[in-house]
Amino acid sequence: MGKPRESYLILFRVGEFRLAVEAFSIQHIADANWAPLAGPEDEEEEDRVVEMAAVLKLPPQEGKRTIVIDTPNGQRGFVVDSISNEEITLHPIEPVPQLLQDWIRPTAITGFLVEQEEVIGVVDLHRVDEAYFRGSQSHE
Amino acid sequence: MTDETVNETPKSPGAEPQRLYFVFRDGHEAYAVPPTSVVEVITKTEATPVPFTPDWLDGVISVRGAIVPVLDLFRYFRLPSKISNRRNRMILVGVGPNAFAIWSDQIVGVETVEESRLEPPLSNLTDSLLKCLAGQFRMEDTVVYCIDLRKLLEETREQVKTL
Repeated sequence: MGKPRESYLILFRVGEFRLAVEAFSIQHIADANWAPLAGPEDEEEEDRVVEMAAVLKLPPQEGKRTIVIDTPNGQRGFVVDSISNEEITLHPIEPVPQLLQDWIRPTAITGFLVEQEEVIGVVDLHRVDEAYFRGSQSHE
Repeated sequence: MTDETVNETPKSPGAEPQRLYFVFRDGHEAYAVPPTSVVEVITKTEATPVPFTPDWLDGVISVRGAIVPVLDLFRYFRLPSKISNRRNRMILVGVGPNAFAIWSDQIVGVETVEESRLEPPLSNLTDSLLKCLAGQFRMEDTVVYCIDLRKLLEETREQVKTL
């Protein structure tokens, strides 16, 4: 099992999930009406804006914010319900136990933030993008 | 060494071999695991759900800062009865370097079981339960399933590979 580390986290909510993303891994946060810059790839613009609720197999949510990342194919926005923390601060991240790593597919949870009794999964949106939209990892 | 051999009780000459099991209930079901695999019993009523996991992974809990996955045996074994709404504790078990928690709504205790009480599994059990059974025995009218925890972990890993 790996050792705890620290990182700047942005906390967000999608339906029943309260999750986090490492601040350095994203490009910016936009509102729900965000549209990507035109890219050279053949992907439709609407495919570049993804409802995170759909990725997590949750009922449709009324997403209010978009977390935008840079991918090899251009920008992709993940629409989430809300961003919890206005101030981005350093948080300790507990590693994912090996057993749990074996059970997560795609392997997009990279650690956990423990806040008192609450446990918050840290999501790597680049791995989500790779698994669901660039087809390198099975997710069904 | 298997989980079962670890739990054989000392034998006196001519005495019937016995095994020790930690017995607990979850809804209509009763399970037994080797007492040596039980780390502690935790009072908890919920786990934090984790995305991208099978439905039988109920989530994770923090135990003194360590992340522990919670496996829902009822869902994993695809049992036909109703899920318990009285779950109020978890059995934290260790299998080699791995630790995980299992839901329970009642701790029965440690039971000494003579080998003659161990029965072959009933044929009407679900496939996923049959694959993880080390045997079963009866306590009054209840059938207690003896879970081979190593086999359970092997099977969960195999199942995730096919998802």
